[in-house]
Amino acid sequence: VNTSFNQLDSLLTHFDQWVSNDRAKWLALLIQRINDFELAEDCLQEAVIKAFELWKRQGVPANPENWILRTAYNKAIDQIRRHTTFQNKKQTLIELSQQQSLGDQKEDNEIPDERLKLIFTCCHPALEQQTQIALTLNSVCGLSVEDVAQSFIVTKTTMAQRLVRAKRKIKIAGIPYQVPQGQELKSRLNSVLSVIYLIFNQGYSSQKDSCSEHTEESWYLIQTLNDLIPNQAEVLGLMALMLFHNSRSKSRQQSSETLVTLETQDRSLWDQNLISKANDCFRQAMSLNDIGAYQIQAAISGVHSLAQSFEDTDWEQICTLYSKLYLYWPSDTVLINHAVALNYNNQSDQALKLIQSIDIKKLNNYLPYHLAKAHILKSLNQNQEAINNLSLAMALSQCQKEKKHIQDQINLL
Amino acid sequence: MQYLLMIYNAEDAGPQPGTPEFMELIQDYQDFTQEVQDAGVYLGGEPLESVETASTVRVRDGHSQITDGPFAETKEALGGYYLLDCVDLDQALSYAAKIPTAKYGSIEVRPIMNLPG
Repeated sequence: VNTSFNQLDSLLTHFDQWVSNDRAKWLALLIQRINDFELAEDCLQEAVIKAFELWKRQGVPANPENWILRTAYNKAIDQIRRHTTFQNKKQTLIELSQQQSLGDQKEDNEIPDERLKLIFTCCHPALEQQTQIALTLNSVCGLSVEDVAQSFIVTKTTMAQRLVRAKRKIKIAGIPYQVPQGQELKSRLNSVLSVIYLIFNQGYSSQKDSCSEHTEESWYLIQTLNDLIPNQAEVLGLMALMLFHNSRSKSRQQSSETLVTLETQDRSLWDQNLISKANDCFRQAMSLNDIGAYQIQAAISGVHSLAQSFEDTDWEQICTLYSKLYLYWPSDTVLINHAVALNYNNQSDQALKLIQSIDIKKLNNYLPYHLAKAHILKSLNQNQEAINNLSLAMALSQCQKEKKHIQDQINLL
Repeated sequence: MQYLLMIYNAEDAGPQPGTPEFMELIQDYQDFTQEVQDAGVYLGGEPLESVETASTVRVRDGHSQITDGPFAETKEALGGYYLLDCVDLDQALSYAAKIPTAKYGSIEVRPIMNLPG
């Protein structure tokens, strides 16, 4: 990389941006070398702070990236020397001395990209899913502990403790820093994808009013995944799903007071460029002949994108896709959505039968269940029952926009 | 790294002694033990007598208090263990999944603490 003096100089003016662009890559490599998540993060943080202070006074070195890596690595080695017991120390230091020191590689040598290992470690199923999400946002996306805490609506201290516990478990329980191979890859990839999807749709937060949206972070994650592990049907499927969803973001924001559902969205605001990108991803996924839940969800979203108007929607097709989705993702959520689709397809009796087949005990506090049921009951002219279900949904809602939307529906009845 | 794989199950779950299924289970355990021995990861492992045979000891103010029964009354009780030397948690977890009782009970996997010195 030929970096001219001017470019180096300007690096200080956009230092934070530069760090956040490459931080995950540096961190991934450091963890790989020193085999300690917590220590790697601390040392990288220190090196970054030191760099900014020093470079302001002495100018930016010829290869700033290598400087940061070397500094962080040396700090880590110092720590290991100071803190390990004699017996462990010998072994650790022998192992470390056999490696080429970090940051000493020739300048034209690209820094190896170990981010995939970082992602798979953060999303390891031996960590609780909420922890996987928090760790991914913090370590891979580089969100501050404060920002992560905010998006989970917990205090900074609580989040900091949760992250420290997770990093210690990774070390003490021996969660490997590696990309799983063979059969393991598919199931582990699934747990990575669900973390990305939950970050994308804020599915982990009980309060949808939370102002922190992580569309950018989830997009960064899925793209990184697709770059580093290309031609995975489900990765492309989730990408297509996210693109379809994003193509409608403008029309979702038509009103600042209430939810704008698919039914009322102004379809001329749908971003046709994103839809066509989504279709490309979807086709590429299908060509790999390895169907899965994200591809089917993308297909459902794609059917909506094809319809000129809500009335124009091919509900028959959508019902078929939900039946198929249930085979890959047997969940109540799928059944609820299937019931709603049946209702739109003028099969309200079947819709009611399907939604009544779900064990209500598990779903009493599940808002979409009550909304869907109200919707179906309304079609069957059971207005009082519908209002009862809407009231239950209202009591569960924690989002102003959603409450307004539910109230509007009650008023209509 | 060393891991203790603790086998928990409700005593009324799974094949019961005296049935042909129970004989199969014993055979499955023998096969599993053979597999971990052949792989060179086996350090030890034994089944335990039923939880009804358990006694619990606590020393308080210098006095031993002995009670009949397990430390905690739960439906699932510790029924046996394996001590394995694995490269990492993934390997330990994949062996845990092969323990015959995993199909109807649960296997808790814990790393052995690395004492300094």
